Amino acid sequence: MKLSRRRLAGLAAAGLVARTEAAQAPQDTPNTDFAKAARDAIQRNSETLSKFDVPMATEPAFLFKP
Amino acid sequence: MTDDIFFGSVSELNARLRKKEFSTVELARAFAERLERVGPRYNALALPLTKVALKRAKAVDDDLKHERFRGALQGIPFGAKDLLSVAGQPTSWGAKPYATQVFDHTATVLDKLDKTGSVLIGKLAMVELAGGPGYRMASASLFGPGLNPWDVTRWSGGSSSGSGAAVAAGLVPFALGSETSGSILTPSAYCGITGLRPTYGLVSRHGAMALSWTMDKIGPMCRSVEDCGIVLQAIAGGDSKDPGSAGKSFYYTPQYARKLSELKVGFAPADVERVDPQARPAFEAAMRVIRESGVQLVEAALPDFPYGPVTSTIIACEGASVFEQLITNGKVHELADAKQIEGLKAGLEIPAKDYLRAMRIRSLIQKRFHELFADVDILVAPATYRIATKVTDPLDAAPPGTAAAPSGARGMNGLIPAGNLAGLPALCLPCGFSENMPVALQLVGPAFSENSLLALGREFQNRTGWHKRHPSVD
Repeated sequence: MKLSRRRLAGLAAAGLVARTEAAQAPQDTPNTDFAKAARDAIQRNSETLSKFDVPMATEPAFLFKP
Repeated sequence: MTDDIFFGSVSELNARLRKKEFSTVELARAFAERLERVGPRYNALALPLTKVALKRAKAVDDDLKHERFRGALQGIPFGAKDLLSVAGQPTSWGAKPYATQVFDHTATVLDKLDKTGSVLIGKLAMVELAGGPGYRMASASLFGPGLNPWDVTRWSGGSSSGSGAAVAAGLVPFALGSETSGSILTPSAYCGITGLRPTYGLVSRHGAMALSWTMDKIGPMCRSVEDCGIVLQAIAGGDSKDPGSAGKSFYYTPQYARKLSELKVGFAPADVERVDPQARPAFEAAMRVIRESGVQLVEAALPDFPYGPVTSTIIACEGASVFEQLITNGKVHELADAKQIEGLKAGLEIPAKDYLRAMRIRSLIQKRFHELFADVDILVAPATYRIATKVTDPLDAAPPGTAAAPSGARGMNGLIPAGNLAGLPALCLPCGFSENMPVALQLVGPAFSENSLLALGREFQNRTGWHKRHPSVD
């Protein structure tokens, strides 16, 4: 079968796209609820942080420089 | 020119350039061709810059011809993580929504390297948005999963995946990476190269993608400690364009470093219990080398803080703010990793009280590290507790270092997030192999103690030679 240059370029591009998409395709199970998992992680972090005793005089670790 | 150049150190290559064994153009062309040919095998290449590089190399050759010497980096090709902007060239941040993004300015670190006469030959792949608030799969990148040159079924680490793989495979003599929490150390450890995370503020981040303003750092990923020192000297220094800049310079002066016999090095016996059993002999042997180097080894342990939740909260909040527009316009869904997408979105909902509490705990962490470093000069620990994960394995299945030591002691578990929260420098040193994959140590010191870390690291590499091993690359 004889292919035109344009057709060859198109096929090459399609192959590249397919490989790229395969490489990028998330391999997670479709049923995983990542939104809920993210919210739950934030909640767990919040609870852990709130249990940690922080003296009232402790300032956050950033400085405002006028 | 023979193939041995591909694994030569910066100093060796520079010496051969000065002896006119080959020209800068020849060297740049050889590495650029190799990077373009082999880089895609590891999904390591983001953007070749061969044409621009050869033009720059020609100018460097002109300098050398007229004996305008600019130091050890003159004429040395290198690669940069694709979160550093180069004016007029695409800078994707490893993420589909930014695939065609072009800036009109060049990152300060790349400008500084240009002034030394080193030659940027390509941008290197990375995990999308440097990993954001967390990702689940190695495939979380516009370029596909970073594949490890030691075993392509394994991950090259993240988020500086391409930088790690490219240095390990001899595609560039050195690379720049960045670390918010582990992104230089992990790929360096997994790929068996030497990586340096500088003190926060020592290296300008102007022109680099922001993920966390208070935690982002840029650093060298090289073949040796010596090369890390040379590159750090070139890229460090104050920069009014970076609000986090410490305004300090760095001079690599191993000749003036403190005597090793004066250094107290803290280690935790529990760390060896936590390491993969197959990797234990390598770590035990490495600890013997550290001891034989003449330092005083003393037992130490990390202060007890919730490093993980503090780090996650800070990165999630700052990252969500940086990428608020991406999240609200819905383009966040173009990212490859579902966990990263939902993590970024959820970051916008974290209450201010949690962020502030995390930053206040961070102050306490910083204070405790000051106290710890009154007793010891350097901490040593495994860089990771296991070898590179399989590319297909979920990264949240069993995070390295979470397995409890049988003794129940904390040891140095959590040193990577702890060191990043406190803004401390760290040096990753290859220290052996397990299952034919590299394993590595990390050295951590007080802020701006890079020369001490490099001095001990250099002695370690003089006594071992693990850093000279490289994978076979056809």
